[in-house]
Amino acid sequence: MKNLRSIAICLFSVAILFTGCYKKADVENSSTSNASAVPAITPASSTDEAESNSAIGSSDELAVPKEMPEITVLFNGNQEMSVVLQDLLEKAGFKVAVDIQPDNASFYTKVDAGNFDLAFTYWTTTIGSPDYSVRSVWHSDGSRNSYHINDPKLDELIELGASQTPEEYISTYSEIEDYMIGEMAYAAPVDIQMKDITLNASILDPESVRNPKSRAFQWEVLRYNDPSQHETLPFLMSQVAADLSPMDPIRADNSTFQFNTNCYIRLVNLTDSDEITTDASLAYDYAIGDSGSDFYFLLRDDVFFSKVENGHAVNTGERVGAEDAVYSLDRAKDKNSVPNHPNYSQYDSIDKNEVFTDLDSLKSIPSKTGGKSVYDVLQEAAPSAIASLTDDKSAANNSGGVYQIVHTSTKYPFPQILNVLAHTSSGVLSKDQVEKVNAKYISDPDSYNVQTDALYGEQSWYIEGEGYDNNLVCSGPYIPIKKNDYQCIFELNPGFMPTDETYAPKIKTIDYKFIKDAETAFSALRAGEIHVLYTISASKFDILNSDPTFMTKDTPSNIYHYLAYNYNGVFSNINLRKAVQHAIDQELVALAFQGRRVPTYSPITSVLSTGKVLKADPDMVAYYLSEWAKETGN
Amino acid sequence: MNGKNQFLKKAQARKLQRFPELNALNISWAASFSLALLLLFNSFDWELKGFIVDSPAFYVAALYLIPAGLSLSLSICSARGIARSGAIPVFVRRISLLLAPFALAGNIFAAIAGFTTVKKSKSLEYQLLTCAFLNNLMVIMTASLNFFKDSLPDYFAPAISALAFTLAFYLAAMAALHRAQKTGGYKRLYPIAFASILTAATGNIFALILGLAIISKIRSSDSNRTIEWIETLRRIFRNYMAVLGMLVIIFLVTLSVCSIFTFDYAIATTNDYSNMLKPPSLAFPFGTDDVGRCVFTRIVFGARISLFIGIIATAIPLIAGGFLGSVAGNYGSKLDNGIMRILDIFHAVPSTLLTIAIVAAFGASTFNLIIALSLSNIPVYARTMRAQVMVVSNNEFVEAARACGRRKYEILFKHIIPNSLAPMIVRASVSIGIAVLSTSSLSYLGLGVEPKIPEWGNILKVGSKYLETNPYLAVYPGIFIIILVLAFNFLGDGLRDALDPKMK
Repeated sequence: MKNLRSIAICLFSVAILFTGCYKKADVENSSTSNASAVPAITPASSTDEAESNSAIGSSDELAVPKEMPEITVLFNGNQEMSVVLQDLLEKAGFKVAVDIQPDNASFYTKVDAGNFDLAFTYWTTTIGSPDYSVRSVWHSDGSRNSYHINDPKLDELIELGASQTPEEYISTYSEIEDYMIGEMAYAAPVDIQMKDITLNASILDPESVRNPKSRAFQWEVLRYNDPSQHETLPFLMSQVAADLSPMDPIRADNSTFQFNTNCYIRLVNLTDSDEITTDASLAYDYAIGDSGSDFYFLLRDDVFFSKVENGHAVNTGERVGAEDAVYSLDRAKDKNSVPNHPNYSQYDSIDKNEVFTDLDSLKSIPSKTGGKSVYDVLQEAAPSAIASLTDDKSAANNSGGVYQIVHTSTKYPFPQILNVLAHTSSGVLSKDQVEKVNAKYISDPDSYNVQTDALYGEQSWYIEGEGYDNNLVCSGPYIPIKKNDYQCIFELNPGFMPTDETYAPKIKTIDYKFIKDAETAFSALRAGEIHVLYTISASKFDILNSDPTFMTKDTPSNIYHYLAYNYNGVFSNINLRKAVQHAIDQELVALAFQGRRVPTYSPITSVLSTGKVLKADPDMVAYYLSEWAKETGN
Repeated sequence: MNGKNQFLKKAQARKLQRFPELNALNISWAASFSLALLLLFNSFDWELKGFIVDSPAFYVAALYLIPAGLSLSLSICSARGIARSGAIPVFVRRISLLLAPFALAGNIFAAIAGFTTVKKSKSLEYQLLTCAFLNNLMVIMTASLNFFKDSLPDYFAPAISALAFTLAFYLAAMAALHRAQKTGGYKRLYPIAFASILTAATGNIFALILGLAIISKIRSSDSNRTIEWIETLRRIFRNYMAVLGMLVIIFLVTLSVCSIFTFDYAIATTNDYSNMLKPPSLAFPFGTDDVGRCVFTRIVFGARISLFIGIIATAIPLIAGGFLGSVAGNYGSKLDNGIMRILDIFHAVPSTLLTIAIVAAFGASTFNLIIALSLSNIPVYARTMRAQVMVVSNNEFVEAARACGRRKYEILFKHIIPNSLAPMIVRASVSIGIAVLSTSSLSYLGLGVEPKIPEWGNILKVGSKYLETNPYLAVYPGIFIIILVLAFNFLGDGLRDALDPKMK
């Protein structure tokens, strides 16, 4: 009897289980279809909702797609971001597969093969000019147009913006934003990354550590709390890449932007907030002719080249002059000056560079600045009266009134050329040294063999060991002494503005370590093995906040993160693209990265804020999905 | 005099060893006491220099001290009883039942001690039923933590009630078993066996084994004849640690099956930005991670993936390696040489390197991961099987079969392979643990399953970023990986002992 009872209980329980499941399943089926399209948190305020509702209009009922497209989102490493974006897109109703590629090469292999629907990528406006922020990726002739955007109207707008002055171009770039993001949806904005630098305040003077928005970290202004340490204590820093591209400004890439920026001087620089300045540059000042296509730079005479002798940096005694600047810019413009020149297209707009010697004509050229002549503008910045101009750099003598002027003209009015001249690739090289080292390549480019021929600046010249023959001649505040797999040593250039208190470098040695792993670099910072560290992961700030030794400086960078579309797949449909745009809740992204990300609209936002925002809105997502469903009959 | 004392001591120790009850009681008080200490340590406020009396940890600690004291006194009493009369006193057995309810406080050691001590002659069926009962009880208790969440999963109520009914059934079955053993009506247990197999749908493998054991016992005509696999099982159940390992594994299996109904997968995978990096609480027992997912729920669902990958990635090389090894061992000469040299090439590549290479080449996905883990393990199994086959094929019964004119492949599959399986099973049980560990470490390196999926290595990877600020994010998945691997190792040890002919 007892057995029978227990069996009965068991069967009863199974029966209950099944009835329960059955009933629940009914409820489930009827509710899921609507629920899935609404994200858990609705950030849009009530007014925004009202707006979007009116934008949608009360025309006809929304069609719910029968089947949502399955999309593949390609990532380059970024595991944390993949978790956030996958979640947002799934909450919007997409079926999302994530494809995380371990490195740049495999990421772009997939992009080139078109094996993706969305790709999480970024664009950095390294020179802070709005033209640079859109041209390379979104112009049909752009050198980095990997997603094959070809829109004549957008090209036209970009060209128009390029030819205008800052006062004029605001409305043009605003129009570009509206068109490329709002109307055509050529990118789904995700965020702007914060650029942070953490420094060891017990050693470094926090004031001297700058965190510029676009330009590379500036070395010559660094100071220790204890000035007596400048000679003895090397400044320690780290980066990931240990395999360096050449110390030749026009061949710089991510591995050497900072090195080339600090080892070669330019005619102008960018301030921390991306304005043009002549601080720490080769020019006292510049003047723009009223045509908008002529630029005059009045050069300093207290910058000398340095070279390495017996393992230390010495002043060569050779002045950095107008001839070198003109040579370097001509070289930057020439596609064939080095193999695979990556930057020449930036200089397309330049018509001619020359050493300008005609003082009289200078006085008669009107400048853009309030009725003054170019001469007047330049004279205001000069330390003494400009008595004569010379084309021989060794003859320059500012205190005696002998100056040098560089004149650059553009093919059409292009004020943003100044930003290009502030870019790393415009660094001034020693004409003699480069022509000497590259003589064979210059005379016969076809004979160049990448395996055996080392061109100027390549790391093989200054890697420790048998092949060591450091023939670098640098115009900037520092010069590389030697390098191995673990570090690269730099020393200050004794001939760099020696009497200038602010910009003469003080710290003798810079020891740049190569640390591949972010966690290791962070530990090194805390252990005092490095003095500053860039881009600490969001989770680490809590740890540092409790430690008064460390100080973090923060600024929104020009790194624009966005989802690029594959226009050959489902995203050839503009409504689907817009649905993705509105599904990406940038406020949640910022939240997930603990405030280390800032909402954005277009790549221009960080350079020229027009105040446009793209609010995530489930209603808009539903609307665009419905439009997509109607169009494709899905 | 001294020598005699030592001899007596040893004799006494041997006597005590014969009683598994004593072992269970000792483990019970030691484990309960250490857990109580751990919880007390947790409820200690270092700033106020005092215990936080109203914290849950403090109450649970007090709850653990009771069975600790009880088990300790029972253990002393029974040791004395054994010394005096050679048996555990009856009152100890009666009182020990008081230990069983502490299972409700999560004290599984006390419960095992209680169930072990209360009954003098423990049949295999009784032990299986106890384990099945404890197993489902733990699953219910784990699922009950969901009551503290804002919402319950859709099928929660029916699933929990079904599980509760299985508990009732196991208790009833225990009573029925007791009667059947007393009155001898073993054949009447047929319905119990079938019902028990039915309850194995929850993932409770103990119930499945119980059902099969009862059925095969009833069906075997001669009650005096022993059934080989049941004997093996009996030997496993003599080993406390092996049982504990089995309990952990089957608990995780049951949890994985039942979590379909008792847990909400969305909580494990959907980001909730209003609950980021929350410390452990009743609603989030293991805290929440950096995008607000409940780590506890993620670990529960992670068990399914880890176990699935572990078992499949062991089954494939077990079958493939076993087949290749037995063919090589049986047919010998050129075939042997060919197969083994090819496998040697595989074996020469470090297995982790091979796995990473395969995953890196074909992309990170669960399927590729399983293939990668399997491939690198085939040679190991093949070697074991080949050696075993060569040993077994020299036995007389193989010769006899050959003399009877059996074909070679028939001898291989009917006689040699079944007798060569023991070391393979042991190796497999241990290597499941290793496979789980490899999956976790590959996920940790970013080569395993995609980051959204709640695999234990993935959870650990997220936690490792917060080791200094939110250590619990890494500690809990770490503990679970350790427990699972240990459980498989204990079970493997127990299996090896149980299958060892010398131990029979």
